[in-house]
Amino acid sequence: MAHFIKTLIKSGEYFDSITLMVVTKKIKEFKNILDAAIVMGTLENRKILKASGLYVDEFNKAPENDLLISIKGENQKVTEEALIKLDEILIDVKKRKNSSKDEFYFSIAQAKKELKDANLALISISGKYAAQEAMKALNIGMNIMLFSDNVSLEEELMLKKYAASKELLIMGPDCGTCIIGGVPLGFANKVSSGDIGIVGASGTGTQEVTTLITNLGGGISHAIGTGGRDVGQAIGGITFLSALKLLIEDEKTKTILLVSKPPHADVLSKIGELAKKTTKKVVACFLGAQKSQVEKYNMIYAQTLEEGATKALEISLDRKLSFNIEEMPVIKKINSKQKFLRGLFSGGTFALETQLILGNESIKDIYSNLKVVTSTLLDDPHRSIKNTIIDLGADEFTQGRPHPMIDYTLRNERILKEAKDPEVACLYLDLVLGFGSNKNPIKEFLPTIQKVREERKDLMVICTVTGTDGDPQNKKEIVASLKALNVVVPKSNAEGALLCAHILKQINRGANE
Amino acid sequence: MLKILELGDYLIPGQYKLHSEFNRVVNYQNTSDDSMFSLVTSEVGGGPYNIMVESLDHFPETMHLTKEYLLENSLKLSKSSLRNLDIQISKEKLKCFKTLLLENKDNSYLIESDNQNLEPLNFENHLKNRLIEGKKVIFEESLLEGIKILKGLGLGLTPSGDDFLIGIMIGIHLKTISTRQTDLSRDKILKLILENSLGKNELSNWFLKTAFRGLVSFKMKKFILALSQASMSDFREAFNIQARIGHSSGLDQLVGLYEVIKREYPWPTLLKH
Repeated sequence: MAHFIKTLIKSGEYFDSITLMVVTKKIKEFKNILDAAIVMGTLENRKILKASGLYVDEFNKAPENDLLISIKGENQKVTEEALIKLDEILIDVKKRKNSSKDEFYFSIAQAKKELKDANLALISISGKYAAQEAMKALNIGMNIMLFSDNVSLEEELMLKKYAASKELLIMGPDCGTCIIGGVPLGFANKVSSGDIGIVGASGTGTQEVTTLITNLGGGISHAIGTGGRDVGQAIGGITFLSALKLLIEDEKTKTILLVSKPPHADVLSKIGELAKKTTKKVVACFLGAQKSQVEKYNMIYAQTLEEGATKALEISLDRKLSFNIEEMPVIKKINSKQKFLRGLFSGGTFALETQLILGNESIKDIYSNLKVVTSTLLDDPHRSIKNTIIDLGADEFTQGRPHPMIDYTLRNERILKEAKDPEVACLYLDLVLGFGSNKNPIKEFLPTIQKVREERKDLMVICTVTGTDGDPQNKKEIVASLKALNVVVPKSNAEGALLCAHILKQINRGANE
Repeated sequence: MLKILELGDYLIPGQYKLHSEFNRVVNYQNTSDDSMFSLVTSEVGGGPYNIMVESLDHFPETMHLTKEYLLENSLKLSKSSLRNLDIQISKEKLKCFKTLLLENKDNSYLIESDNQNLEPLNFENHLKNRLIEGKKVIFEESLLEGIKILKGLGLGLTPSGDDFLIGIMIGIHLKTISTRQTDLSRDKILKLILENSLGKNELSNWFLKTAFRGLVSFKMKKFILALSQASMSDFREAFNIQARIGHSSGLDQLVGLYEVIKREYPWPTLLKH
């Protein structure tokens, strides 16, 4: 094939290899460009240029420290244009000395000026300033992930209405988890890419389903968070509905999974109407909702997060998944006083799901700091009563301190406190891995379990580990360390909660009979 | 005015001129010999010849490092020598080291993948094939021939081939330290690598000389300590921090280091070259 080569020599100009790789890649993407190279003129690099047919005699006179640029194109015009463009890019790089992969800007507007293609801003600042900044971002055409909490309901409604009028999306406020085009935002995990799209009004719920899908071999197109209040009557599901529409229109998304507490009836009806219109299968895991409420809109009902993840994956793979069904263990009470369960969760949705499952399994005397139909609200969340389920991410525990997924201090203290109670038979815990979460559970969480083990050999300890092997915390090692401490590690929160119910039934059999 | 956060422990007094500037690093060259030093931001971190500063918004064209200046600031010194480290590497860590490298195979041309002798033979694939060839030659055929292939081979100011050679030299130092044996043949190998790897690239030459002396950046030292002493998760973190240096520089050095450790493990065996 005929081709043309255009070259350039730059003296006394140094670029790091990242820049040279990126610029070369950009130029190679030009139509009719066959190959390109930008390298320091060392003897070895010259050999490679020669072998690739990119060397010209003009390079002979260039010293080793010069930068050699060579472009091969199908015709003279495109090759010359590419060379001019490449030179412009390198000059621009030199000018922007302060720009780099981690760039710092003083405002979203300034960042937008530099990063012209950016269309999403993540806002994580104090709640009282968040709405103002979000408004500025909307005004320059940005979609928003609003991580901040303490944004008023009025501000949320105003922002969401404004965003909808501009066909933009506001994920949040208090939106903890999103994965957009494979990029994890907030508390999120390293998941596989795939064709399952998720709309989630629950952060840990979204983490649970995305990681389960990944661990079972599936993948995620996008996981769009909405913030927990979005599906309430006041907001009317503005973001949830927009996100669902986006996933319906998204070519990469073949199956849709919805994760939330039961939406308000009006919101559910709007979600249902959208779901009815699409040819894509929609699985709805509205924790605590009735099957009939979901199925009347042709959505596929999932009672638990695990069931939601599994059903979505089965549709995505177009086959049934088979699991090894493990028999529930026979539990022997070692200490005759042991009667109760204590569930201490960093993920609020796990606390909720556990209570629902325990309720369904007819476990009585459940107390919690979460208002759930199956439990009684604790007057003092710092004092457990009988079977207690605590969401340590609730406001009363997080004021003035980081979230328990980041800082384990408070929960570690509570674990030790509960372990001292001779009436406790089983501790149920969660450990949520991923970006944003505590980076070193082995150092900061495991020693507490070790201590529990040293003090209470008779205590059943169950701990879920939400995450994937790609997460930064090394999931495999954590699971192995937990198992070495005789901790049961279920594959999902639902499985763990069922195991808790089974344990409670077994150890209290005499009492119930 | 530069606000200094930390000084390298091997900085050489003298008059320096600007050599090259990047976003987080500005390199200076001694006007009377080949020594260099770098002004760096905290993201880059400490090193034997680094001066860590708060910001690189304003840096001078020339700098004069006097003995007095270095002494006055000596409280904030990087500790970059490998000497006095107690290194014990477990099989599990070595296995994990390999796994982590393979997980990063897309980020360094030096990590072998299944599809070698890549086609089509464009510049990028030629470069990849040549780097892998150099790596094989150095360990399986001839050290000198391998160095000839690798020296100066790669895109930027610190080419991949040179970084790999730096990693090899660090590995050789590690073995000397671990076994607490002085071995003339190892000194000879180090000298042979240095003498044959120097080219016209002053900065890369300086980094090669630094590794020859057994001096490493703070990030590399942290990695080596983690390889020996830390938990698996700390080790992974230290690996990731080192691997993120430059586009592939940090990773290429780790490949060189791994190749030496792999061949020399367990430590009591001597280098075969």
